[in-house]
Amino acid sequence: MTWRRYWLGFSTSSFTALLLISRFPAAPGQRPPRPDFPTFRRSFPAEYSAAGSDTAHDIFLHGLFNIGSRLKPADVFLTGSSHMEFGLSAGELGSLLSKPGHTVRAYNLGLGCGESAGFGLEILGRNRISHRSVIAEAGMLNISKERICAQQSERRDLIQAYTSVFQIWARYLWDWALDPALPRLVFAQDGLHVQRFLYGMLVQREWDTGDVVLAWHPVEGTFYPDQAVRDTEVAAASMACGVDWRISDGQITVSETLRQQATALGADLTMTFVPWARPMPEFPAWYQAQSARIRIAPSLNTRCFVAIPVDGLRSWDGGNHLTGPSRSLATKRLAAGIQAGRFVIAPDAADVSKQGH
Amino acid sequence: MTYIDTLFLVLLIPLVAAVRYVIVPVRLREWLIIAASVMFLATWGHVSLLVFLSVIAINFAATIGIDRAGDRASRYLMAGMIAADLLALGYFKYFNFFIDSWNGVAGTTLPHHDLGLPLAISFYTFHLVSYLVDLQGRRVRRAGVREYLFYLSFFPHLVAGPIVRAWQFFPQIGKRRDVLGDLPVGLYQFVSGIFLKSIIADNIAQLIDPIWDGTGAFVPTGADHWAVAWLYYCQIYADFAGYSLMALGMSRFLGYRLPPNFRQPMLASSLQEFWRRWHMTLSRWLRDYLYRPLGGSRAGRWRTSINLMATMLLGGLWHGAGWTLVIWGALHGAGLVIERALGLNQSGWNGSRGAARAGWFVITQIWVTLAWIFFRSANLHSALTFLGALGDRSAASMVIHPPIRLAAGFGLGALLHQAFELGIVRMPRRWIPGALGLTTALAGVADVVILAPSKVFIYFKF
Repeated sequence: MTWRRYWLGFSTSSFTALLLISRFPAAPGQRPPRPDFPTFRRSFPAEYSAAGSDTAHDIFLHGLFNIGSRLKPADVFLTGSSHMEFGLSAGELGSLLSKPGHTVRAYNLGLGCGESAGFGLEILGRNRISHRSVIAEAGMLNISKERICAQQSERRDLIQAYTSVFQIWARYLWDWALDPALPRLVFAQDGLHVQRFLYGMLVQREWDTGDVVLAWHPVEGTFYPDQAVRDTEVAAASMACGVDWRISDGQITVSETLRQQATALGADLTMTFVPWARPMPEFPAWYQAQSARIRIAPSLNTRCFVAIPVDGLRSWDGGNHLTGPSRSLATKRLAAGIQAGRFVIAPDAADVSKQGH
Repeated sequence: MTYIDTLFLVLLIPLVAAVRYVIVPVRLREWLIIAASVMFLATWGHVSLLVFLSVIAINFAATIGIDRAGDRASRYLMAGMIAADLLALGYFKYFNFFIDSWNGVAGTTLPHHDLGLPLAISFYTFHLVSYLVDLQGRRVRRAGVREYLFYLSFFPHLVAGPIVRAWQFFPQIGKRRDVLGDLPVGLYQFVSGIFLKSIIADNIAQLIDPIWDGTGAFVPTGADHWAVAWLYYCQIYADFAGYSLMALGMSRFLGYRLPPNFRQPMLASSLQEFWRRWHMTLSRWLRDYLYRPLGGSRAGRWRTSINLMATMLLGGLWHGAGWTLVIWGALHGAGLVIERALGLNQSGWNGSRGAARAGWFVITQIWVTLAWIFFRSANLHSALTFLGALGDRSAASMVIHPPIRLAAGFGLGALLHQAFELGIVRMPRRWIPGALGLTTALAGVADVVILAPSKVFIYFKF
């Protein structure tokens, strides 16, 4: 049997099918350009949502690509969720806190998946980093130390962690390469959709500071640090949420765990509240009790900043995460707070009793 | 890492290129494949890797003993080693199940082991056991280290089969085969395997999983439930047959042949025929190493029925620790006993009892579909609730909701694949390469452009 007909049928059919499919209209409307090819020397794809998860959890926790050597020189670590990841700049904070003859380096360990500050402290422990300043996000204290991404990352060993990271990167590069040529057909519960090939959100972070240097969306294009497309006043959203001063047992427990973690690492724990205010009906307590979290500072035995003032801050997703310019502004306000030593305890801090129980 | 991950494909291409075109010495080539297989296993965690290496090291030592010992001593050694292998499998696979059952009965709070299920342990245990039995029976020769490692770790069959016997595989080890058709046929198998798994099975799963999980956006009707049960049949076929085809294709890329695992099971006109078409390598293994040693069908009707039930119950339990899987096995066992009693167990459509056979075909396929409900359900209660919903006879119950209709389109894809495989062997010989080339191209393009909802292989967890 000759196989020439196989290769002939294969090549002509592939060519014809690809040609026909490439004529499919991808998403209607304007199609923003794909992001530039990742510059792996300076930054790395930290999240490509189409591939299911992020890479930053594994890279930081398992010290992949010798990231520990970039973490160890840092004097200050920012830990918390994606609010910290997008809301503060470690690079800018380091510059603002530096004085002539004394350079301060900061590193942003804020992570997606709604990660809590405690996981950032675990990253420091795994990388054998102790006796540093840690600025932890108080906004997510009502959730447990570990979210699903953290649990997955902790279950992986070194080979699995590298595999997971390379898998996400390979998937991203494959999608990136085919994006100009082909659409993506998606069958969902509501029928068939034709989308662009690169169909997930990309977050790119800097190796040296951990700061987000690029966020890109298939429909909106690059929206961070510049060109926010759904720009919202955080203050307005914050007002809409209202304030609830109740503190739950869970928050106290998690806060206590955080304090113990910091003590074990010899870390100087400072807490701040990265402004965010998006109502989340599925987790009402998340936003109802934000401001109240500041009040648990005395029981944490930590220095605590009152929330960074929200006036003028803007968000790219309706109040959840700050825009690039607002990140700079919030970082300046945080630095000013640190330099002025305004370690403020919330009003009537003496009464930290569990109201509302 | 699974066979449909982009990273796996990125690594597979240079491996195949190296094996086929660069590394000439066969031994070096096989050591490279062993290293790739071990690395593949390592991506599933060090526990999986350590358990695998420890188990095969001990088994290899036992094979030396069996080979050198006399008949009686080798028989004891074989039995001891098989018992140890089954004990290891039992510990990892069933310990927590028994602990749960015991805690439930005795009111104790005995703890679980938290090592998880080492990847592929069920499948390599099959390989270990069959090799020990065949070696002790002097049906195969004792393998050297490279042969043994290669046979057991060969990554295309390592995780979920096909279960290949030593006598099928050993003659291929250490030899170079350059067959012209291996690359195109392998490519057809690999690409259509991805199509079955990623496009058919995963899209069906995405559309019907909410019904199984009770999280759907609509209240499913009776017709929806019937359709979902049949679609799960299509899903698990596409998932496992897709995986098996990928394994066969990868094996051909590297110059080796594995036995096929599926042969149009939806055309089976009896349960006996179903098991000759579904997971064929497991069926044969169970027949040769369990059913026949129990006495098979040679010891009278009652004993045959007991042997069938025992084999199918153990087959069900092998799939996992759970009562739903035991019932799935029991349903198949009972069906086999009934059709044997009625004389409907012969395959094929010829003969004077055409109408009875056609009727039994329909009953067989419905029986298999209903049994899958137990296989899929999280627990007995869910399975019985699902079964109850099938009996809804209200007027509204005939409506099939749009997501299920969409999933049915993918289900038809699973049927078409079986029809194509049946048709290709009946096609004039000169048309076959062109038809395969065309199919490979279309399936390949679909693999690229249609989104594959990320789901793990169903049989990886066994």
